[in-house]
Amino acid sequence: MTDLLRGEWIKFRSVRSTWVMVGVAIALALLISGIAAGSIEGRRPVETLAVSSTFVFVLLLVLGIQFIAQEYRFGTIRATFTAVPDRRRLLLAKTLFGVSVGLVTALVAVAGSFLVASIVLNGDGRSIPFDARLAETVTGYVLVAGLSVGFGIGVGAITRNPALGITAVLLDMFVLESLVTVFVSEDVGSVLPFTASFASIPSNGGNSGLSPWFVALAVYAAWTAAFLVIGAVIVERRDP
Amino acid sequence: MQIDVAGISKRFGAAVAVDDLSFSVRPGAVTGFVGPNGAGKSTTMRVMLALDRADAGGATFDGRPYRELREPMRSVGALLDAKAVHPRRSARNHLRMYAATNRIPDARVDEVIALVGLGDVAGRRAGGFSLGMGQRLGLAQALLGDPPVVILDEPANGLDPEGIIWIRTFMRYLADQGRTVFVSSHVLSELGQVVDELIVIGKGRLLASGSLHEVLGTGGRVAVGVVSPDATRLAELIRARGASATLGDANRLEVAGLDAPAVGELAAAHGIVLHELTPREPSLEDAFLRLTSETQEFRAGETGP
Repeated sequence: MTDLLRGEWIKFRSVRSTWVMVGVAIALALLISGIAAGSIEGRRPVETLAVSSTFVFVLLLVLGIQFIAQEYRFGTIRATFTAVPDRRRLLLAKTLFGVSVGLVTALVAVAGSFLVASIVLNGDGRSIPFDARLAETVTGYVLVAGLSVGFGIGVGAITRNPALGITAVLLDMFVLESLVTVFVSEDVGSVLPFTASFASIPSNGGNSGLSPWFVALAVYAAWTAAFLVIGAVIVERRDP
Repeated sequence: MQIDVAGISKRFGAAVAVDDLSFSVRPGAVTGFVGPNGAGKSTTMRVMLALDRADAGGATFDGRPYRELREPMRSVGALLDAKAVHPRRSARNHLRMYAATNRIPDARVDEVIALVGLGDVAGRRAGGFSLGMGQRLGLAQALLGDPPVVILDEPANGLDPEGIIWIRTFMRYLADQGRTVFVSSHVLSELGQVVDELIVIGKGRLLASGSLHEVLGTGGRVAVGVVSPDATRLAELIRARGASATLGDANRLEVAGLDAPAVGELAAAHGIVLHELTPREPSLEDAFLRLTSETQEFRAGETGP
């Protein structure tokens, strides 16, 4: 498995677009938490960390989709499969590597956001308290980030086309799930993947969706696993 | 390492791409895999490499299916599509990412880069490569694992004459090292005399296989070029034997249906002087077209109105 992970690492580091995506995710997190720390009066300081989550997770989802769909787009998937005929093992390596990238990106984003928010809050004489809520927020943030890359890999394995995968995810995220929540029921809406991912971070309001946060996280993890399994079956069955 | 293809069939919807195809490819030779476009060459190769699922049959490498090969790049090197690169990744990194998956050291990457003559451009983005450079990169990729089997799908496609000669020389070099070289083309003359063995397919079916001369013999016709001061009389004698003879300029005669020894003996028996007696090799393309056009007409007749 280490040989496959090394291959994925070379794929990742040898093109600029992956670094740009990770860099933009981190920069957005810093920027948003800085703005949030300076402007959200009524909220608890810890929430400034979580405000950037949606943006960061969308970028990581797109990164996950690209991880596999780009290989189909450029045709390198065939050589990849001849190098590694066990496609499930390959997909597992991609997932492990991708999730690691998501986790590391989130850790850097959180640490940076914390720093930025602390500086801004200190100016107002406030600070981020080190308490259980902070620990939960950071845990939820980092884990959802890792899962999001995995979710993207599942989607990319199914669509095999980056643009199609990204469009589908954005449509679901910003249109479909809202429609279900409004017109079907809030209970049904709350178990849909992105609504669940939002509720996985305790500082994200908490007035809607699943609670406690780790139940929502488990639901999002289940969605991720389901998409990865479906993706694996499709990758195995379909001729590249 | 020997390749055995046994009864591969593959259909895409209603269209049959490969129809119960069987053949063997031996080591130490260049085996040409030829047929018109759409004959099923690429599909067969993809099935051999476990990329496409066959509806029936399969291929083995010294008895083992591709999927059972450990670190397969060390057994089988494949060039399928030279344009299959991430356009913004450097050639060296492109090779390194495949090498890593089969635990091939980076030193070997630089070795194959030098071997195919891409040393000066290995750090450049593969997207900016010409077709010829792309084919070289693809070949380097195939050779990464120093494999005993090399499978090349249309390696000469789109290359200029210089590139075609380079590919031919390279295939000869690989076969002379004892490797199994299996190469497809829809234009037989691209492969030329570098091919030792020939497998001809049309509409997914095996049309002929064997050594180059065996296969061309079945499709070619005996022909001889003759120059004689007494060409007119010789032409009559040849026609009397049931063969055809066409008179050309300057006592030149094109004979079909008799071989060179027969023409020479006939001339000697009648005291006719010969200035030239040249056996006409059946042209690769003629034989190839003849073999493949028969099936195409046959198939067209089957499905026609």
